[in-house]
Amino acid sequence: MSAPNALTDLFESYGCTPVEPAFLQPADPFLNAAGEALRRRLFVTQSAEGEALCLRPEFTIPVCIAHKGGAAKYCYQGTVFRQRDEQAVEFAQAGVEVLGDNEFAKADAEMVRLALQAVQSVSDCQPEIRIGDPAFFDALVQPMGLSDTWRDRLTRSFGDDALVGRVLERMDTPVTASQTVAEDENLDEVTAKVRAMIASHGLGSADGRSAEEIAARFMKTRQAQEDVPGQAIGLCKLFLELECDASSVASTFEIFSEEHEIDFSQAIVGFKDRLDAGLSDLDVPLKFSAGFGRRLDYYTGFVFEIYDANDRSKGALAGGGRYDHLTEMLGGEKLPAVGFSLWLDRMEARS
Amino acid sequence: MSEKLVIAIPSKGRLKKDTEALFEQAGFKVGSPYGERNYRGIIEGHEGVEVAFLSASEIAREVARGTVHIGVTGEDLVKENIANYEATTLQLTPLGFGHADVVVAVPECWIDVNSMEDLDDVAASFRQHYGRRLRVATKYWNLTQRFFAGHGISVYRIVESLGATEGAPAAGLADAIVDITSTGSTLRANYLKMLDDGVMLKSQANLFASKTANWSGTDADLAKEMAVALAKVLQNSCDDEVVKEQAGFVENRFLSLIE
Repeated sequence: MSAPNALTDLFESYGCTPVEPAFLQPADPFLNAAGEALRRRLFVTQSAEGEALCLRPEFTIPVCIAHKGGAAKYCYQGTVFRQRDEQAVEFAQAGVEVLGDNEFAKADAEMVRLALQAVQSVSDCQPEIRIGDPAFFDALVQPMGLSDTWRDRLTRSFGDDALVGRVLERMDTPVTASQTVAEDENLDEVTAKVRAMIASHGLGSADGRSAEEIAARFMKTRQAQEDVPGQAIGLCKLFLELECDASSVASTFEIFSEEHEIDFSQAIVGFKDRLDAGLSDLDVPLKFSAGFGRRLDYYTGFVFEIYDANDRSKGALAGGGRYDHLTEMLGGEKLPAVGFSLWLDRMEARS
Repeated sequence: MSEKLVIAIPSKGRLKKDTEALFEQAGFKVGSPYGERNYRGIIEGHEGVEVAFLSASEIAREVARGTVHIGVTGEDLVKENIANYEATTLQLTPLGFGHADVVVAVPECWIDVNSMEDLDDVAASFRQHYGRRLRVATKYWNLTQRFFAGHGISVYRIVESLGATEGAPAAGLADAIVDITSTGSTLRANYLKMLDDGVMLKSQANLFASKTANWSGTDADLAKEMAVALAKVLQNSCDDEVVKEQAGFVENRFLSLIE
């Protein structure tokens, strides 16, 4: 096959070091980073000593675990394994991870360009790029007068239309507060009450939830029962429907800002920086989608996907984004990180 | 009929007694001519039938594998332990006994947590507060994963529990649990509370038929007659309207199986 070598050549010319993570990986880092829901997708086995191992479901986490030191660029290529009902379980992937580059806008833009070049080097399709930037959603929900609880729930569900819809629906129908604590008790009194319960219930283990955190969240949710500002729900729905060419994001949000008195100026500046850093002169369509994001808590910002405009049904040919929390979450040093992976099976090799 | 029809009945406890009583009321008396400790039995007057006394979880497995034609076992065990249970087993009807709810429970002192939505909030910020994921002790891995995913909760870890799950939070092994409860008193005794919308499954004993067993050569008519007779007893004597209604579908469900 010529295509894979072409990719490695492309990535190496960008400055990447090729790496080959082992097929068998410890399962814990994947489950800790992505959550228990991932377990159903993993092929899990056990070492003789009882350690849970899995066939690698992706490359980003093994690459980040193996990384030592400061800035580095890596590329990889190989098979990943995921359980899917009645679908292939082995997928050919290739991709790039850029760790420790502090020039965010430039690194983001370079990733999109490189991913596009990679797609074009192995396939004859008509690529179209979709980008998302949660900075806009954050700018929307911060000033809406929502309690922390609702804001956290919205932020957390961002990127999953069904989940966001459910949170919005729940905001419309507040639940009644727990009766355990009287209305007029303050934070200190509630904390003392919870501390007493923990002690008398024998739940004194050092690493369980603390009385302080329980009480603080209790006070916060009690506040969340109070009225949700009427226009907040409608505004979220309007926002999530916004889609436009990347070049008109600034004007679109300036209009939205004026109509609804929400300040998107910071988000617009960040977005423009990224465009100016190398995304304004692409020869393929670049679309912005306000509701597009990744629902994994180590993804921290910019995301993108490349599709075949002629056949969207086969899914994204490439997907990537920024995950500045991952290296720290895996026990390493906190490093800015951005990368992408290509779904090679979805691209017909160029003849 | 050349092949024996194999009926699996729980081998001990309340479940065995209730099952045998129901079969007897329906006119099919379960006998143990090989001795009480033997794992094979008979239905009196029906030579084409063999009774297999198995543990409830073995029954779930064997119905799915097809070594047993009909079996009585808990819905929770089938849904938890059998991959693609809809493809391998046919749920004929609930039987009105062996009730056990699979529920999500948290420490009572979590006064801020009453719903799955609250638990989602706590799970989402757990790592930030405590440097690790929220742990849920359970032996119901599959049911838990499906239920939590349905509530959009993904960032938590399951801790396998092989007994005394309700003691896991006090032992510092887990933060919350998923377990079966019938009255909730064990939960209360361990200072745990059920979440308002935390009932994952309202389980009870069910009559299951195997979709994978070889029915040819067996007396399938007798099996149907038996299932229908059990259903009649339920329709006449069970207090639970849901059970009565489900029992009414037994004949059609059975016919869909052996056609």
